[in-house]
Amino acid sequence: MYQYDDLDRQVVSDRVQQFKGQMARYLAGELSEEAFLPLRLQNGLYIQKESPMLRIAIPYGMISSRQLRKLADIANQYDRGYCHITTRQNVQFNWVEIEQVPGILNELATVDMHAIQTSGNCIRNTTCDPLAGVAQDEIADPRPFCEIIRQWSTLHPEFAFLPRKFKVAVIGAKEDRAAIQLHDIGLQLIRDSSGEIGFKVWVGGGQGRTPMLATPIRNFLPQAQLLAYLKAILRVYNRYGRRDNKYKARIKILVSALGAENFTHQVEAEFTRTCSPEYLLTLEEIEYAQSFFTVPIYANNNPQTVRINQQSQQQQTQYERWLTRNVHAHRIADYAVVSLSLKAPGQAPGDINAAQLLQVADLAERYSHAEVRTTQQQNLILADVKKSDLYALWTEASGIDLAMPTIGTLADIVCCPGGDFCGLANTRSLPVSAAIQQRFDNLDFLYDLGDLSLKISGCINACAHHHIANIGILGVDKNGQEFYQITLGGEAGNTSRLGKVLGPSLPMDDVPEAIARVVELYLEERTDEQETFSSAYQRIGKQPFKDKVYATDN
Amino acid sequence: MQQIIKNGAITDDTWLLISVEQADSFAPQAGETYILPLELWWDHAPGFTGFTSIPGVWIDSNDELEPVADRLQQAPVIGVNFPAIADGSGFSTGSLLREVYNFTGELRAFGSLIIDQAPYLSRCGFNAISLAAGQNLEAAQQLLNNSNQTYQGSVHSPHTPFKSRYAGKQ
Repeated sequence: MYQYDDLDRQVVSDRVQQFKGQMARYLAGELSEEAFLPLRLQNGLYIQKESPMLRIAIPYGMISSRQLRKLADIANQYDRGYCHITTRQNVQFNWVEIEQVPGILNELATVDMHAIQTSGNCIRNTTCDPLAGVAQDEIADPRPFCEIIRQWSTLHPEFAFLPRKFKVAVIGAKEDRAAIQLHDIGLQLIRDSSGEIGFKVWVGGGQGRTPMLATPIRNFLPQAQLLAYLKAILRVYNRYGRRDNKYKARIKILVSALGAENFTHQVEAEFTRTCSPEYLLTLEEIEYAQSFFTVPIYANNNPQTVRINQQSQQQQTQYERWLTRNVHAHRIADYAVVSLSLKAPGQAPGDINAAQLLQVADLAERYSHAEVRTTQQQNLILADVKKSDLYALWTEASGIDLAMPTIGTLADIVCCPGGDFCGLANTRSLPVSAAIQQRFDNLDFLYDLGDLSLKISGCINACAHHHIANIGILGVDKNGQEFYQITLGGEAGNTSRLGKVLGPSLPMDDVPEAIARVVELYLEERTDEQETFSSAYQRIGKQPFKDKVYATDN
Repeated sequence: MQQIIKNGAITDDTWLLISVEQADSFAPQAGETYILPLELWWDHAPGFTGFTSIPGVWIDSNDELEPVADRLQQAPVIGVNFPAIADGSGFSTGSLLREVYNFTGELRAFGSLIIDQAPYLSRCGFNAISLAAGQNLEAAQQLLNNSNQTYQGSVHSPHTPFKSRYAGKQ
């Protein structure tokens, strides 16, 4: 994991001081609401319904046990004892006091954390494959490049006041586990025919009101040119992106307005005229970044020697379920990747309390090199677990409600905080999530359904990424009433696809039944267990689902 | 007289800004120095008959630089307008003028600017900053003087984040 040096610490502490001053000026009436808005947003501070929300950056989802403990402290001291993992791998505190924010930022700085650019119209946290470094299908580790992008984009003088927010995602594996095609810039590490490492570059993906998949604009960008090329893209966007309409301000609108070819031409022209040596990454500096993400020393361990004593049949079944759903392949045979589920029944998706944060820190230290990752699916990952430790880890994770064996199933619901918290939302999302979770509490049924993604956004901003869910739910306000629109057939990853609206939106109480009918039809129609929901949907189309969901029972 | 920050110092500003609305009735007065909207400036260029000295040029966020770039070198001042706090297109305009068009004269940022933006402006190549009314110039000056090392450097001296940080550490 990356370790701060003096410059990193100085940047963060300068920023804390600066924000403290800005807050004081605001509270003293010297800084107008309009002027303070971009400043506070760039420090992750939203003014919400009940209380301000502070979003903390977890760069590309990597967090240490020490940092987890600090989050636990902050949750206890400044919030209501918990925090929330976002779909962009960050952490949110939902109950902070505005005057205490500078103090919280100070606390975060002591463990090399911050809230810089977690909101606002600037370059946001770079997201990444949660299996980076341990995936079997990896060409190169994306994290050193994420770190380089993190630094380059932090307080970049030219790009702090963009037309709209700007999100970058990087992967280094063949399979896309970071939804790069739904980002303003998606980067995929590849090798060219000569074996050189570089990037395939995608631009113009995004969700929100006008969801779009990104367009590839460069098939191979040598790694040295990464920042020079990013700068060219951002400069074209900053000059020509629309600022007159919030909903037309993302780069996706510029790309589609200019046409991909014209946009690409402009980026390449800007790149050619400004790609001077100062902007190129040297091999030494790339290697230096890579030196923080070296492969840990993996001990030999023999899973066969692990003796599970006096285990009841019921425990055995639960353990095996967990192994099947929550444990994933590691590139080293004797190791495994473990998902800690934040989707226990009755819990808001992605929420984690202070006691759990401390216990996860302990687990990470004992079982996974003191590092944890956050995921876009709002779960946590321990990436380097010895297979011989799995049973012990399962036992402990079960004891703290983090072993719900439903990763990747319908019950692994992704959900934004919605109208209960968020000032932007126009409907609640959490009660819908709870009702669906309650309806589908039969594990055998969930396993029969197999991999199935369900995501719920409380408004058109689409923070839960419902557009790329197999089953997406979007809250819409109709004359002050909460209604929910269902989209089907969305997919993330290499075959990214936007879901299609099924039909008229439904009142909250009807949503669980509608979802039940959707999955029932899927079970009836699928050719065999191998046919995924998305494949079945593509094959049979929307109509049968629509007929089933909107059928009136006589 | 209005004051601006120029080359780090707070100074009186003698340039008269002529807006697009004033352009129709504009006639140069002897002894005055002007900053004119791009179109008006272009109409008088390159001779600038009737002007005591060559006027500066006002660049708006929707003005295209490319077609006029060569002649801009003639301007003693280029003023880049920031129409709103949140409209940061001028940061790119300024950077381009220094980086691509090698403009060496006074590059001035003006409009809805607050002190907190001063260090960014300076790093994008602006050596003169005219803040929105009511902003504390001493505070802005202090921010400029206290600026520490950054990940990107400036348009005059850019660098990649790890440049000069990895030597001897491995």
